[in-house]
Amino acid sequence: MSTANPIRIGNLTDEVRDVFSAVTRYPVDILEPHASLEEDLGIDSVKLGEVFAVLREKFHLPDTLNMPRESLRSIESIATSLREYVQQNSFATSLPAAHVNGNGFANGNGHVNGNGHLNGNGHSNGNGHTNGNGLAYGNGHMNGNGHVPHGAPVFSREDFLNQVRDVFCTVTRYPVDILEPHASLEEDLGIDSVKLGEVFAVLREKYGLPAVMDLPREQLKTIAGIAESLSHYVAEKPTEFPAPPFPVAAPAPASQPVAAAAPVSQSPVHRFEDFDEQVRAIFAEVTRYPIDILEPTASLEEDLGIDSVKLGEVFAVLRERYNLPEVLDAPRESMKTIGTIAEALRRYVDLPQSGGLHDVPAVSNGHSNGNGHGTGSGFEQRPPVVEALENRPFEGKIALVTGSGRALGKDVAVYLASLGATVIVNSFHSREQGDKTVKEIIAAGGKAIHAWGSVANPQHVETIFEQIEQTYGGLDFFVSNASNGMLGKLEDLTPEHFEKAYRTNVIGLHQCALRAVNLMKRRGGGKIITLSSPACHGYVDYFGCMATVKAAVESLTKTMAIEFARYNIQVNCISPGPIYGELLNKWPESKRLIAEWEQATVCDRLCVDRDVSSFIGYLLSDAAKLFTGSVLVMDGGISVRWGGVSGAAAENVNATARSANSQQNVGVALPAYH
Amino acid sequence: MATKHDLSLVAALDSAEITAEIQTSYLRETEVQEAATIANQRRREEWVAGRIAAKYAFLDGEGFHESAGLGELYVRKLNIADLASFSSDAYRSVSVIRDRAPGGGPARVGWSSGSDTVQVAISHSAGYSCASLGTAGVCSLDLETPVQRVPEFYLQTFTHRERDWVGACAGAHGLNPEWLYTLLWSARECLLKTPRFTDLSLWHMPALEIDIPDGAERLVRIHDSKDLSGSFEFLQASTFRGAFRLAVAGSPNLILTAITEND
Repeated sequence: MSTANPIRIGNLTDEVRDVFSAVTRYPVDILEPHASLEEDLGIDSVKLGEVFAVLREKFHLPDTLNMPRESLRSIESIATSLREYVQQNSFATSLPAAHVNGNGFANGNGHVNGNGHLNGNGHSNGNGHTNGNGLAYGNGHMNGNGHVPHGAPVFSREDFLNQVRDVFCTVTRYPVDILEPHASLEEDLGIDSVKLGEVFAVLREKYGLPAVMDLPREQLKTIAGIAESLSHYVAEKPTEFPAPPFPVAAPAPASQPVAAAAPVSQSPVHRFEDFDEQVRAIFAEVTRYPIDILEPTASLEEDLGIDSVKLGEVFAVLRERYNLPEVLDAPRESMKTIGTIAEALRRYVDLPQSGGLHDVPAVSNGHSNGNGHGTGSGFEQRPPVVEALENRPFEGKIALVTGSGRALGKDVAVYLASLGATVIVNSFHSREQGDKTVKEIIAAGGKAIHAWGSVANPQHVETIFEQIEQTYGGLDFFVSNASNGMLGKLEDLTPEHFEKAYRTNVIGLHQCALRAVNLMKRRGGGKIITLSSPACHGYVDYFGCMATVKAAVESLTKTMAIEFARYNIQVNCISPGPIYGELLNKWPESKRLIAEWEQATVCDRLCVDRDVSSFIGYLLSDAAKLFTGSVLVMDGGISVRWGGVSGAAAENVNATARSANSQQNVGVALPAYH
Repeated sequence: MATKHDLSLVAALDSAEITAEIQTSYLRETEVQEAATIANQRRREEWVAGRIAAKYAFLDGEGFHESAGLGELYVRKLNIADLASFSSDAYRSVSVIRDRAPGGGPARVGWSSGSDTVQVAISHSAGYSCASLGTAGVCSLDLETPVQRVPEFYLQTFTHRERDWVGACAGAHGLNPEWLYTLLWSARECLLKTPRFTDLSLWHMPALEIDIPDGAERLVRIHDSKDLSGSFEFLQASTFRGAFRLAVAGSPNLILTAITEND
């Protein structure tokens, strides 16, 4: 059944524009209603066909709709035609479809300038170019229109030009009609140096051209110029091109750079041409504008509608990508176009990282952005807010503690809140306890909210982090405490037990961490704490499933520590031994095991929640900045004393070992379990 | 000494209010032509709205309409009826002149027939334009829209201290962090428009750390304001070149900051 929408005359232009935006993915701002679809916006006939299909569907338009070609030149003219149609037909949804109106989709010539220039700035459309590219051949071999004089050889100039043009067509995928021989490759056709390099590579392959050729740079600006330059080399291959060589333009001076090398060179990243393109690409990435639209000389504000904050975003990305200084010598006027910005930044990119700073205005006064960039000396000199609040060092910090409705997680949440952090309490099975934890924190003068959901459920994870983002916009600490798993002997465990444990402990950690990192980036960094168990390195009764997934947690912790370091995020794992509490009491044979564990410690007691919370607090502080990727065991010495094997098992192993040693009398270095 | 143009009105105009008729009847022909050279439609509409808002502010000052008293900065969101307070001839009799020279000063506004002009600050965002004038009034204005930005933006543009401030304000007062980050950006941009910072450009934003030690709770009223109209909140702020008083107005979707020359 059709879901056609009624056409509303009043906002038809906007509606049509929205459809164009949806189909082309161009920002609406770019889609100037009066701009030529082809010449200004670079929307070709096929794309226009897509738009029409959507319009037809959206408004239930008949295929027989009369839309003259000239009415299809701009969004406004299309909207006008639709408007007229609607006015003439009081209801626009009933005409049967007969055939696709092929007239409407293209003008048959399909000239697209490839640059998608906005109008109003005198940009040309790629057609009817005057030959401003130095191709006025003094030798009379080629006229200004690219035609070959009469009497051309079998392998004519025109043939070769067409072949070169075909190569351009293949590589760029532009319709051949667009590839006007005398159009400027860069300015009219939007063919950049890298794309030109691709073309050269194909030409080199196709005609067996040498890697080094003496081609004047100025001849490489048009297809005609390139064809003319290459013809000399091609003509020397009589087997392929039996015609006599036609004369070429005067050879370039020896001092000129080797032609074709510049655009196709596998050069360092920071070649000037490359850098300009990279800056443009970053603009495209941040603004989501099609790169063709981002004409280097267009005014950012007036032609492209890029405002100052958006420009700030671009600068932030540029700064990060190229480690650019916070302060540089660039006048305001240089910030008006992509081209001038690239030019202003270029010398800082080409200079060694520290080299570009000495000659800039002394405006920073020791300030730094705190991320290791910039002048480098300042941030520590400014007392941060948190330092002024001695007893609440985490004031202003946002902390997520998963599984914090009860037990250890709850204590961590309460403790961090007592240090000033705003805590996101997360619970799933213990929803009421989660609410209760929040109330307790608030009652104690702290700040907390409850984000219910399971870390093992992707949708819940999404919701939890959306809530954090909407509420706080960022995150400083993520304590991954949520856990799930079965205690039991291996023979009693099923695949489902392992899957469940893995999904919560490992996949849940991974998914939450990724989202946490995104929020931490906004805060300039952050800290992630994971929780494991020393038992994953040995044997503990009934812990086979949990030990396995905790081993994975430790491994994941180390990977995250390295991969997230670039965002100034430290990741550490605390591996506490048994912790007194309700969970420990649920352990099979808990009475026996607790007694054994207590006996194995050096302090005759197991951990309490606050032991772990305090240590988490330390790891989250700036004092622990150098900890990352660490797995820190806190078990009162149990694992040292037992070497990772629980009491009864250790006794058995020791007995076996003693027996083996005594019977076989071999010097096998068995672990020291005693 | 204060002049009649020291009235501290910021005229805010939504470009959606401007019909084609208003545009052609309120702008001078040269202004219409200049607008036509702006390729981007939104920007063009904002430009037109900015010109009309500036003219309105000038005409309002000339007539001492609804004086709020010296030193009391307030923003008035203009509607069709407000615009109609003055005739189209009056609008066309006023010119806004932009200093196009590199590093040129702020725009000025005055009677087209006369040589006396006054400085005008204009800013625009999301289809809105704001204008204020006066030699002792608003020195710079900046209007921004709080939206989510790329992650690098927060990391690279704002210092730890600013991020802490945003976190603390968001947590303590329920303010939208994007709104707060945009406020910090807007304050920076406002500074760039003042004579003290002409040597810096947008690139230098990270060096312009804004410290707002207290008063954040007063932002709640602005943050929750229904629309752009109303009085400003003033916050004492500082950057590495010293202290300044930051005026903030806005709504959940817009932030308007102002710095006055007297500060």
